[in-house]
Amino acid sequence: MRSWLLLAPLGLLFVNAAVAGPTCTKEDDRSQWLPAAQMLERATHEVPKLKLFKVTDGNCYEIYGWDAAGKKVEIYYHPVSGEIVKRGSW
Amino acid sequence: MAVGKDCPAARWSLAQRLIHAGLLVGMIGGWWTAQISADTPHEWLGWGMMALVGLRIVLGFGRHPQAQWRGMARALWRGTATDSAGRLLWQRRSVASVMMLLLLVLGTGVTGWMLTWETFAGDDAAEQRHEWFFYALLAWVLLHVTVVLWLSVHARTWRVLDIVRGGSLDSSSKP
Repeated sequence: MRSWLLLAPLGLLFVNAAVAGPTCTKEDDRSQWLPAAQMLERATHEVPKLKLFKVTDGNCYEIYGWDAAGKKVEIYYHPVSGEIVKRGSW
Repeated sequence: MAVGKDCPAARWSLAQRLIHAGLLVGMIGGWWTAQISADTPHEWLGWGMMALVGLRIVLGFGRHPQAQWRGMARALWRGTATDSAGRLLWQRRSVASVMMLLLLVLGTGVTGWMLTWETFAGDDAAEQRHEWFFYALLAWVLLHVTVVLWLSVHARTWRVLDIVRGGSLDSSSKP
């Protein structure tokens, strides 16, 4: 057995990393999405103190911040319906 | 010095075997909880794995010869290390591999913990760093498993069974 074959598992390093977080939609046509500004305005009702707002690899709007009680919150929103897909902490 | 089937390896302690099993379970669980976005169990598994690595570090200062850092350092320096009965404790390559595994577990845990810091929460680069450490760990584990299986079957040292029974104390390590 050639010893260099033992290095084959290292090829895994070149495999794309799995997407962390939920997948909201596979719809790539963003014309159907709620405008980011509108989504952000809605989100600030639940997350009055904002840290970060972004679109995830799973096509969700995601917000990081603090709720009214000062607790850390992380919320994923469906970009078309605006519904909360997942809520947690960071 | 004879190594392999002519010089059976020293026995792993029960604590070492439990840590090994715990890290394996933690790694599979960590991967799975990331797939299903179960954040809280994922974080607890991460803390559990960090605790196991911490315990392993402490064990290295204990009395069990196979767990001692002293023997590992000796193997790194001289190539091999044996206990007082002449049983093989470590070889240089195996020490290097185990050190790499421990560093990658620590790296995965620390980069995961950093995602809870205000500076890094939600940061794509920080998330990718955590994932990179995990996949590097996974690759190294697969390399580790490949070598152990190869040693077990080809060299007939049956090291794979050490995971459960802890290694051989008699003159033959073959089951």
